[in-house]
Amino acid sequence: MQRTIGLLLQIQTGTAQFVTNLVAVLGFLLFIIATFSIVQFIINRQKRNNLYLEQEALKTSFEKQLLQSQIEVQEATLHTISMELHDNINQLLGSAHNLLNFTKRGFDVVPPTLKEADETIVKASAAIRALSRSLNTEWLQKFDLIENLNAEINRLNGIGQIKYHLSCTDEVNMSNDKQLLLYRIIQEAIQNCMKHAEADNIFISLSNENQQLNIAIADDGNGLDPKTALTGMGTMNMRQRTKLLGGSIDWFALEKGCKVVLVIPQNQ
Amino acid sequence: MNISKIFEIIALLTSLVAFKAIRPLYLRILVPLLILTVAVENYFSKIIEVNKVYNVFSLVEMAVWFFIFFKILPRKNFRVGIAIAAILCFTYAFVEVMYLRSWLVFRTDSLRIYNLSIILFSTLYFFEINKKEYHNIFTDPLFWICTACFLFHLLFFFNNTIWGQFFYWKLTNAKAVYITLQSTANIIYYSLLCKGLLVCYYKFKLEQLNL
Repeated sequence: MQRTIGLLLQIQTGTAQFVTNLVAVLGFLLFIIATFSIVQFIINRQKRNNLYLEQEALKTSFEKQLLQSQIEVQEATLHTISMELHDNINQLLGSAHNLLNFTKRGFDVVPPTLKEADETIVKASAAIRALSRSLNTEWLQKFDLIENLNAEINRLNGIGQIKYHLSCTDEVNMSNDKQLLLYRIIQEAIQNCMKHAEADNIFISLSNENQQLNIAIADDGNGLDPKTALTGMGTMNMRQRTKLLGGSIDWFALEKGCKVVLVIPQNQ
Repeated sequence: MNISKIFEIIALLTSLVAFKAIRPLYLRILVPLLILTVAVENYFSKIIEVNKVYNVFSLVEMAVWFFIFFKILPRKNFRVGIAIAAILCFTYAFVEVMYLRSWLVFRTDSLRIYNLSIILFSTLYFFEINKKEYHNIFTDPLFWICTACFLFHLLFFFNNTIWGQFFYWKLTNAKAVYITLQSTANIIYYSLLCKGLLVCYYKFKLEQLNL
């Protein structure tokens, strides 16, 4: 009898021990499953993050390539126009100038209208040469942005309707193709001022600050209506070129006139 | 000294160091909560009846976490759910300590409802961030805080369930199993809270460097 009671007590103690162990195992199992779920969640989330970043990088790279090819096509077109201006129209003007000189020899006293016509043809030829240069990609790549801007401002000041002011105190540390992109943006901004602003003066300034190139093109004209003025093809091109340079572009209405501000990182 | 108490103190020190850096600002409420936790564990539980202290402290803790989750989960229907859960938990807690049991008996039933609520809210946050196209969890302190709550309350729920079973306490080593599980829960909870607070701190330092 005593043996049986002892055996039963042993079984009871063993069962109790087993149940406590079971509770402990269950508790830790629950904890391990929960921890595993969290770790799995973190891994999945990271995988999705990486996938997203890869997709974004691909998208950006594709957009850049697209923009680059658009710009290359534009540059090729400008280059063709430049060659046409130089090799065809300028040659025609040269022939006209020679013909006028030949005609002048037939007169004892050259009529003033003929003289003025000849002078006009010479001026037109010079203007076309300068314009041809500013559109010629190969020519632009030989010089830096500041030199090209100075040449362009001199050419525009030669026309004489609007006064152009250029102030650039610093050097531009960028590759030639980037300087060319920037030059085209500035050209477009100047064109916009000329076409729409009816300004007397156009101010262009370049300065370096914290490895960034700050460019401002301001005029004292009619000002700016953001709803209509910033929706054209020209401004879209300016935005695309600025994006390709990794910079930012903004338009501001001034008390008199408007201002375009470009901020371009130089170390990109 | 119990190892979980060391983690508790480390979490408190981390929160004090990172106090200025804690963003979002409502998470700063964790600092007084951790101070109170350390005070309860190391002082009040020794001078006042332990169950009475824990019953009062758990009410404060409940209020703090309901407030934090109310802020974490931004959707209106989630917030309505949190408000309802908070009202239910507090009502049941008061009924349990005033009528069903007493202040001198640990109120495990209402705590289990609170545990389940916090597990649910943490899971909702995980779902919310899982829905996003991109979310960097390594720079998100809320993720680590929610993970802390999720794991802690899961084990705490399990422990509260076995606490209520009268037969369990007759088993050999029952107390040791209970204490081990609770210590594990505490260690994980305070470690992950530290991680969350450190993420706040590094994010803040990085922002300062960028400025």
